[in-house]
Amino acid sequence: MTHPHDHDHGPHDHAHPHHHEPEPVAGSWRDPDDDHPLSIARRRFLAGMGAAAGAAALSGALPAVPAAAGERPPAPANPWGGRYRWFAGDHHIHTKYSPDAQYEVATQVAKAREYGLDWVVITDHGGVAHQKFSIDQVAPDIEAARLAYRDMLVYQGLEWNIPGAEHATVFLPPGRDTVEILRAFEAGYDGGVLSTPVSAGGRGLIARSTSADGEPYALEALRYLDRQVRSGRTEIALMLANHPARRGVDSPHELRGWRDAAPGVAVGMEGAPGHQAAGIPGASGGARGYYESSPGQDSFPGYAPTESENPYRTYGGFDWMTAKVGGVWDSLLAEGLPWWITSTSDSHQVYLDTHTPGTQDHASTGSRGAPVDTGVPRPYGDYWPGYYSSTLVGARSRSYVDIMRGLQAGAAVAVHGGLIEGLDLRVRAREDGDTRGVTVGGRTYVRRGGDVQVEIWIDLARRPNHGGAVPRLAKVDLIAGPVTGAAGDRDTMSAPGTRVVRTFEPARGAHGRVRFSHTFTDVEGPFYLRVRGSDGNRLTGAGDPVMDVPADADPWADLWFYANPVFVDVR
Amino acid sequence: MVLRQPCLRGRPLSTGQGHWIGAAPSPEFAGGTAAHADAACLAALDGAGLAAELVCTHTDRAARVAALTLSARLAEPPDDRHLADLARRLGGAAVRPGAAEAASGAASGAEAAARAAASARAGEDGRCVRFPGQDALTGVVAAGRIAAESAIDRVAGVGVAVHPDALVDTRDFLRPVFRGGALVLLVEPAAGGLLRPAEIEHPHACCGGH
Repeated sequence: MTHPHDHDHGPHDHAHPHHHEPEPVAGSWRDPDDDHPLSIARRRFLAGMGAAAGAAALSGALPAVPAAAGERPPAPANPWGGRYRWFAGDHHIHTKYSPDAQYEVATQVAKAREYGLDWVVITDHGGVAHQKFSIDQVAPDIEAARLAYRDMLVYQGLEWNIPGAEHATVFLPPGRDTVEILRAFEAGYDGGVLSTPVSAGGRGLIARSTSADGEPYALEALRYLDRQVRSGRTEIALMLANHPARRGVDSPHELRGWRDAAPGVAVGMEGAPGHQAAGIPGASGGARGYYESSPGQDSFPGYAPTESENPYRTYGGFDWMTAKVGGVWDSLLAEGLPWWITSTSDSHQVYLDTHTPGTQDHASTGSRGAPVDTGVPRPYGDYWPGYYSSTLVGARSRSYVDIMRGLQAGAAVAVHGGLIEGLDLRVRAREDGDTRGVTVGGRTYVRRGGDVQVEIWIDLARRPNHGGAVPRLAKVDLIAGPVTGAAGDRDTMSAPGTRVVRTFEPARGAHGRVRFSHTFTDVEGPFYLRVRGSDGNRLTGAGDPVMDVPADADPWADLWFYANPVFVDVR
Repeated sequence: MVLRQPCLRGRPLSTGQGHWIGAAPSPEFAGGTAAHADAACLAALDGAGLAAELVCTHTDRAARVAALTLSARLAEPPDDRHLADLARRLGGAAVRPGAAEAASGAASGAEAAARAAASARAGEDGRCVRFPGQDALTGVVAAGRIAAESAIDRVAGVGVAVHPDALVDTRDFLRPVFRGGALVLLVEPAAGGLLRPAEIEHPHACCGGH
């Protein structure tokens, strides 16, 4: 397998602080014709073609022509240079309708707004009581929050117990059938409902929520959502796997299976879990992200901890699947699979908040009731939505569907602690090929043997974050690896060809916007690249994130961002 | 770095000795946390009158749904009556490998039970719930002492070297695992410059409606 050569440039290549106001970051990947009925019909047609349609066809921005054999290859996805804006959001938030959480919907939405988010997804835990009692209570609360906070987009979602695996966010844009789709989905396919005995109100069809006999139900569940989109009951539906490595129960073949079952629905996973305050010294005593588990009965044996790594821990606050260069995430990308990462709060109970859950019995009412203010700060492990974690999504407009399409297209960057304010990535053929290029989550092409230029503009943090300091970006890694096609073994969990190609360091004192560039020369084979950055406080000798230490992980002193990849085809 | 101090222990690798049995509880036997299941398994062994000095849990993946199985090393050969009692307490099967006539319980369970015993005896697999020397390893102890004074063969760090003087906060809960013929306690950095076991007794309970 060929790997693109790296090519160093002269001083021109170093960071240039630019002193203009950060502009809306460029790169609209939206085909303006995309909303035309014909385009929509074509999109559904292409989605139905599965893998044969090519990865770009499935990433939300569809080519004008199918990429079937003998036809023209797909147009670039997520083209650079259009008009779009970043919208910060959080797809993983709990309320009093979860048995282990406590806040009103309105409180979570108000806090999210206060901390700078544009969109949120309410995701209470699925299960018998939630399906029977909570849905009908949370739906009007969400409606009320939309009215009270008109500049916020509040999605109704679910934290789905994926049968056979971990949890996942499932959400839809508001629509006539949204609640009914979610209700039917949860009744039919939630791992909690499926594993609860009939005598206790469940369906008694699988041994445990996480046991492997649930795996076919997960695939059927995603196909169900896909059918709701195809039939026009909802314009879009998305699923993102939450805290994927926490208990080792999301095996690599399950990730691949979900994505392949419904590529327009199952689009990614949390690159960083929530609960980022859980490892603060003197707080909950837990590990960052509450990643403190060890292998259990339903864990994938390949994730067993070793002397070199513990997949059950976070690394620099990020899930091991994402944090490890050449790890699980890269193994999917190296197949050419669009699989995106995000960052969320998983907010249940907020660090140093004084409330405790209400006294209502969740099992019989679907709600904890109003939280109780004890006046005493509690060492909880979570942050308010937007306080620490955010997922920046590029979208053409601030609309429910457009933001979901942005996520579906991988136009997303996961950021901790406000480390950066914006990222503009442009990847293009220098001469022969797609010279306009594409941005985050995109797909471009170059003529065989040609050069591919990568330009990275980053808007540095200007304001203190909620940890009280203005974060300083110390380094940016450009990571790349060859695209080697479908893995023979569906449990493949490494991408040996993927590595850090280049590390950039912003000049000390740089502010405003900085630019880095790199050129891959003589590109002979398809590859992908991605970008991550760090405050540089906690690095291994190789410049990678360090495994977080339980009860000794100050999240503000170890900040990272991760951008979604760009795929480069060779023609 | 791997700590290895066999000379201090003054005895050979613990696995091959003694009389091994295997058991396969029914799926309904013990739910909840791993620690909860551990306690239930030990209670069943003790209640059946089997003096087990080393007990492991295993995950048997022969069937679609992974199942908990047990292995135990006894000082004395078990008699069939005790094995039958154990099988009854577990709602499953209990076997003495190599003695087919000593199997109690369903055939599929007996096969899973035999696999557990065989893998632990070979030192290939098993999460050790009880082992010689365990009771003395409470609080904070030096890594060297763990290897020297218990059946644990070595203390291995995740991403860090473990010096014999390094302090391990046992949190009174040690679950070493058999790997490559050795009983290994995997530890990782903890607050205050200590090490702690990679498996802890009460990880944050992940919640859901199930």
